[in-house]
Amino acid sequence: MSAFHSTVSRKEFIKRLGLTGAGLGALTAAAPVFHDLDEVTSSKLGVGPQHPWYVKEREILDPTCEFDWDQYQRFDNSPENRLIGIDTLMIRDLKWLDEHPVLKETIRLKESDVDTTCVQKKFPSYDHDTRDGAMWAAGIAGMQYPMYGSFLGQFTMSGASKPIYFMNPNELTHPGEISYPPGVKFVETPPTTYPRWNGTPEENLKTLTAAVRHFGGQEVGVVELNEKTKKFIYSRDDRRLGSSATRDIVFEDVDLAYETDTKSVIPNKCNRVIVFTNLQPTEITLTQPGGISGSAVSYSRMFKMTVEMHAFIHALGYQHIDGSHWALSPSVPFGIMAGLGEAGRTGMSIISYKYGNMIRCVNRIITDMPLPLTKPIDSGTYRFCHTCKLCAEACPYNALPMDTEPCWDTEWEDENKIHNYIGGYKAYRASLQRCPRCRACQAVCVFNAKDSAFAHQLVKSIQASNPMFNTFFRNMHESFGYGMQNPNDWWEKNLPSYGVDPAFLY
Amino acid sequence: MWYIIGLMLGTLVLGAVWFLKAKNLNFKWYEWVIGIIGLGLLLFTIQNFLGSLEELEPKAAYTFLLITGLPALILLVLAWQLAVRRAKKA
Repeated sequence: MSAFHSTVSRKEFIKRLGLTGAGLGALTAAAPVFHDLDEVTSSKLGVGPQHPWYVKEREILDPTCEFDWDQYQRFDNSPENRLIGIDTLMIRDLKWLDEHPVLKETIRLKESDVDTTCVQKKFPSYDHDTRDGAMWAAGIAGMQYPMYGSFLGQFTMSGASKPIYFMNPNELTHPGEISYPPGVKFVETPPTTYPRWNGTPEENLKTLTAAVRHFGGQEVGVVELNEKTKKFIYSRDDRRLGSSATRDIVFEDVDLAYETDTKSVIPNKCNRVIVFTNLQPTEITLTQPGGISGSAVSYSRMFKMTVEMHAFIHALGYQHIDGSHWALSPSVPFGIMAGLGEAGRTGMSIISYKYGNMIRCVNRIITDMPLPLTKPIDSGTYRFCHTCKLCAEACPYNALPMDTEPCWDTEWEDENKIHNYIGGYKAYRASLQRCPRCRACQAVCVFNAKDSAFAHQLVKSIQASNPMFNTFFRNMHESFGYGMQNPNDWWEKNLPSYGVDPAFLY
Repeated sequence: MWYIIGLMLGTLVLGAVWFLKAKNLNFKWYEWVIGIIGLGLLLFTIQNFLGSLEELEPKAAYTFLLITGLPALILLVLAWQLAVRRAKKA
């Protein structure tokens, strides 16, 4: 017979059982209680990005990177004034490069295949092959579906509808041609069998989040368009409907958005900016700057998603002014203000505690739909960037700043000389003349860590509250073999559909 | 993954309890502390090993075995040996 027996008496056992039951009862009483489904859908639970316990929300318009609203001014994004970088070559001829030797050198380096050399430093056996080029070509082909952004969100409320215009990439070689995206020629506003959607602001944000997720996006936030944030909107822009004429972007007290030959008008009543992210395929991102970059296919997914979101908001009965990719405004400030990430060392993208540096696009749609505001966050990533510098060290073009402290203008002398930056906020700025968008910086970020191994959550939660171990974590990231992966191995992996790690799908 | 971890942990704990009874051993408080830390570290190692393989990061997986798994085993063996040697002396 076993000598083992319990030392708890019957009385003690019943007492403990009762106390546990009372505790559970008290917990239930303290939990939120919903009386019906309307209360569920209107509650703040599940509204906006759902952050883990270690991420703190800050006050509206008070992100971790400081803004000087007096210094920050609207940027003139006309072709003549546009920031000088590899993008501007689309509207310049090559003779112009002689005036910009830094950019000319970048192109020379790119053409000498510095990207491949960068990967070979870590994986000597790597060489890009026809398959890499084929993947890039496939991604670009997907981008031919609407290109860039369209200002026009105009529609009438009487039931008539307006087409959604997008600039055809052939616009550059065939000016004046407008190509309707197939299947999105006309969108009923609202669909004749349904009344205009009138949800509470919280319901509307949940609705938009469900739609974004359904179309393949990730997080959704909302920023108010007020006297401060209007400064993020370009003062002039040419990435507009139909012709490539540059228009002033102005705000007026009108009911509907409209355009003339000289201006694009945003109604003041459209005071909400919907900000939503679109993730790159995760495994392929880690192979950058190898030839099979994940960015091209991400753009095609982003444009498709943008068209769908425009059609969705249009059919709900609200205005929708497009700011996809780089149309209408830079994306990063809206992403930061919406709490979808923080400013990072790469400067050209937000860094998310969840998705790291793998977010391809931070899309914006200006609307008059009632929506609650989402707050900027402090998840420790901005502070981590101060001492990490992995992306700057990995950059084969030396295009990222190495200063520990961010600055209010730029640390690049050649960028400063031609005022090739937007001032007024304290952050890191890449050298636009040196960066050819190889995306090596995306592959090496410490926050790219997925969620399956518990150590990542431990690291993220510790660094969010205390920067003491940041250097140790950064060094361990390299020692454990995270970061850039061999592009040749990508073809052998058993990857999920769309190439996104399942940990990032929720 | 957690199912496998649970099975492994349950087996370990059962084995430990059986061992204690069979050898008529008692743990001192410090042996308990070392053993629990060792077990926690072992659990951490197993979860991160399996999780890293799921993340397609084999180098990280094996590095976890070395960096946290080895100390875990050392601590567990230490706790066991302290108890056994104390019992032998007695």
